[in-house]
Amino acid sequence: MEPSVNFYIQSNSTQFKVPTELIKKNFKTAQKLIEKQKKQLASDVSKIQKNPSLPNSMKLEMIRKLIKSFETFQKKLQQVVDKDKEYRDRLTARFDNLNQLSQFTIENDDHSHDTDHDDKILDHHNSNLINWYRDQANILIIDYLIKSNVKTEQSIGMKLLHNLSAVNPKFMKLIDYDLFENFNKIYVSIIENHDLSLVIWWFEDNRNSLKKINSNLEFEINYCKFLSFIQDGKTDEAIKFSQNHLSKNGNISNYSNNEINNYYKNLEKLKSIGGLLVFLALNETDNDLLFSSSLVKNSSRFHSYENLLSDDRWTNLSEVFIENFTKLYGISKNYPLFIYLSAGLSSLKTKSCYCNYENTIFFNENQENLGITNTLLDKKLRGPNHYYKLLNKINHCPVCSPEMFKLSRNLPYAQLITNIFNNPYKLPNGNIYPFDKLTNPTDKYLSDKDSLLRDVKIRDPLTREIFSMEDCIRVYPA
Amino acid sequence: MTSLLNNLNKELNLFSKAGDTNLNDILESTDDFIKDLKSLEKDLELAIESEESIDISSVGKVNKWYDKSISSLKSYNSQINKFSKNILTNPQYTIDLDDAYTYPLNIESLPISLNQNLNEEEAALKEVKKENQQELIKAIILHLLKIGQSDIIEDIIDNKDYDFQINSELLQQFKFLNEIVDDITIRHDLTKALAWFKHKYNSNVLKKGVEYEEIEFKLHILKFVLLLNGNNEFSLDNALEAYLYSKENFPRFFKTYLHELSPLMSLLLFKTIDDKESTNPDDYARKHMINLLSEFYNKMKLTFSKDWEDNKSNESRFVQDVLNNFETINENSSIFTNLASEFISYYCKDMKLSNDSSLFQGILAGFINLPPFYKYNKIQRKLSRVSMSFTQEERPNLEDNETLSSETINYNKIIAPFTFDLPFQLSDTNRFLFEYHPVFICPVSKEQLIPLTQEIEEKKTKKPRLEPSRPHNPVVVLKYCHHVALKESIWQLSRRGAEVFKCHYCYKKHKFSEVSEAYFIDL
Repeated sequence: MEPSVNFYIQSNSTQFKVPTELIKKNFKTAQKLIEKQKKQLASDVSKIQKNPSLPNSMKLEMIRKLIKSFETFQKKLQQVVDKDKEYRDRLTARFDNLNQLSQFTIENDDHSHDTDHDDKILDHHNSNLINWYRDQANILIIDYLIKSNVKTEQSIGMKLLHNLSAVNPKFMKLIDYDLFENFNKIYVSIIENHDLSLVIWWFEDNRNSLKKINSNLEFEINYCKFLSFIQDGKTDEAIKFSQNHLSKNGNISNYSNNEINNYYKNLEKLKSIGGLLVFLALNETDNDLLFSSSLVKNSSRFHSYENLLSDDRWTNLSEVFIENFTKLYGISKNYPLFIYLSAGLSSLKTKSCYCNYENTIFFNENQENLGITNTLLDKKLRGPNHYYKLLNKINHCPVCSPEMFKLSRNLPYAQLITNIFNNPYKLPNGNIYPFDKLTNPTDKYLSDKDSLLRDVKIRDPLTREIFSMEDCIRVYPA
Repeated sequence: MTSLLNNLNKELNLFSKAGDTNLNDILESTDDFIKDLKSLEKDLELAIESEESIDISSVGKVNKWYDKSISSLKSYNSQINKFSKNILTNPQYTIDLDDAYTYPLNIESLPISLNQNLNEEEAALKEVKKENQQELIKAIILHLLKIGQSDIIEDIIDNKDYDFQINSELLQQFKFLNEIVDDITIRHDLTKALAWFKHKYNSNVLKKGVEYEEIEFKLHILKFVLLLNGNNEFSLDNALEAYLYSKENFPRFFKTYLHELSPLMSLLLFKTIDDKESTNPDDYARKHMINLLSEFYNKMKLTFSKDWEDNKSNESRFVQDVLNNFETINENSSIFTNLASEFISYYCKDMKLSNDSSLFQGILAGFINLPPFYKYNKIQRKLSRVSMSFTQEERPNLEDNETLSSETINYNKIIAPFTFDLPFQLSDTNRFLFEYHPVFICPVSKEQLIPLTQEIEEKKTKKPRLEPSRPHNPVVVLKYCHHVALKESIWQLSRRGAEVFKCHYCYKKHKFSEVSEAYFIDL
């Protein structure tokens, strides 16, 4: 399966989904705004119409009031319209971005194998395509940085986005940074600050859309809040709260057919609430002497109540929030960066890869200093982890860079086919080199190559041994 | 354009147009209504002055405003829904990216996760995930440095949660690189980049030669065009400056790039003539001349593109790009960005680092190879009807007949054994982008060579190994035919060294003692 234009469009459908959702929401704001304006005006107008005998000055006052109110409305409306335009511009920019791929395709030959005729295969010989991918990669990185940000003061992702937009303004339109920033803030507020206000606000703001995807978020928020009351020892409030907000969830008639799974899950949780109160009572009395209560305290049931009041509930709520959020906007649950990186590293990982500490700027405590003076003939030096360094050659393999190497530790190795340099030439010591480079060394220590060649001799660049060319052979790996 | 793109384009246009018209209609009708109100206000003011009575029932137009607004909203809404239906929920357009995450990385998928009650195995895995998260941040730092964004990394390094040290000398060099890149991409100033080469030559670090010719050539070309046409106006001074520049800097490229240089030099010629005309304004003659010139210029571009078809060298492509954008060179940011990333790769080489960002290359390979991962996962899910867990089940056992201890399984989750291969082969078409190691597949056993990467002295550290242990199974060369295979395969072929065997390719007879170990070493 070759990478094609269509595959790329399909795997980027989220890019169109998110702005459309934002447009829909903005649309509802416009609708509400208009309805509200109409309602208020209708009453004002009827007042004027009902009293035709009012003095002109009062009429004037009323009209002026109308104008003022309408002008405020107009301003608000303009904002909504501008937002709509901004989101639509994102859609257009994303289309233009994808459409660039059309320039980088291979003209379909007769042998259009397993792809449908309509699709176009991408031409990876085109360096402009590779540069196009550079932008996309940066977008994935920004996406990750924004979504995973845990600092409140500053977002590195946003900073990078602004920097890159300075050169190429289209970046701002290719990523829904505002939405992701918001997402991140809510997530962090739950899990770090144990604060429910943002997620409640988000829920209220999206109540209708969430209902359509059978969200159980409301219950989860209330449940979490209830547990917080309990934990703070506010039993009275907890009971009152549960009567008002939780008990209705125990009634199956409050659920639609699609939500029936939610019902069973919630019922389980509700059932244990009563026990929780007992747990609380036990916990409050320091009376460990009572045999019965110490028995209960060691029971597994008791420990599960302890768990209920641990930080697990925040993790749980944040997971439900993420599930709701990603579902609502059609965003992938995993960072797209991880998805591409995992496929990429798996497809690059060879059994010749090693952790190459040369190719990084970070210090590492494992870094070894190897003495090479007397051991040049050591066979171990013929491994790639040594010979690159000894030959003063840079290993460009991304999987060998220490960071990527560690990230790809658990990934499978790519299935590859034999791919050896041209003219492999074996010296008597077993080292196989590309012949052309062997006879044309660039390194200084081989400056005697001309005199050696005259004697039909050759020097092993790694071991520095000199061999007669007659003893060297061309080998055939495939 | 493919039909998916076409259709998307069509739907988007409808969507966008509907948004524009309908929302504008609402704004307009609001505006009209306000105008009505204002004229009413004026009438009232007049009426008060003249103490006449006035009918203001026209204020009831509010319904007209409302009806119009709502009908506009309705019509926009239906277009939004159409777009959702035709594109967003259309299965032709949707691939769930999560379905392509066949082999999850050992890294947390959430911004933060809390320490829950973990058993020993989970705790070890969590430790690795934490380490990997830091590795990813390090990779991002390197990436940012290599794309010339060194100023951002200060903010990341400041984060106390991370525990690593950066080689400050290299960091300093990257900061300088950042300046050069900003000059190229933002200010379109190539002086520093060109000076860097000069400096390197003078200090004898680089030898003038083929290796750097390409990038230098491109830089000089662009500099020439910028001199000639930098501020979008041609003057004799500009032309003279460009000419002097070319005289000084182009000759050493004549040998390789004459073909690319000639059209550029002719540019100099017309622009000079054009300029002369403008100093003696004779409108008719001037217009005529300009027409002739642009015609000639276009012909030249065409000829060059034709030639280019036959000669798709990177440099020619670049010259063509520059020619095509000659008039608006400063507006074409991609020329500068691309050149900057090329420059970066040379700069990194000089720092003895790999020439591109490893993170980017990893992602690039992902962009290119994602389709088979997606397809494979889809098929697996259909087959097993079990989601998510199959990747674990599928992990091969180290030795099939031995039962694995839980320790080994745990270890395999962190470090994949050498037997863990991708279950599908990737297309070879784009492999050329990623040829970093000589790869040898044994023609007999089909196993990939695992070269030795032993340390000279095994360290005594108790730190967990990064790699699975490597079996000793080197390449061997057959004495008479010089064919190559893995030692283990030959050992099996020769019935553990007991029998004479035939070469797998040419059937020449060999004894096990007639093969010798060998090592592929790339130069």
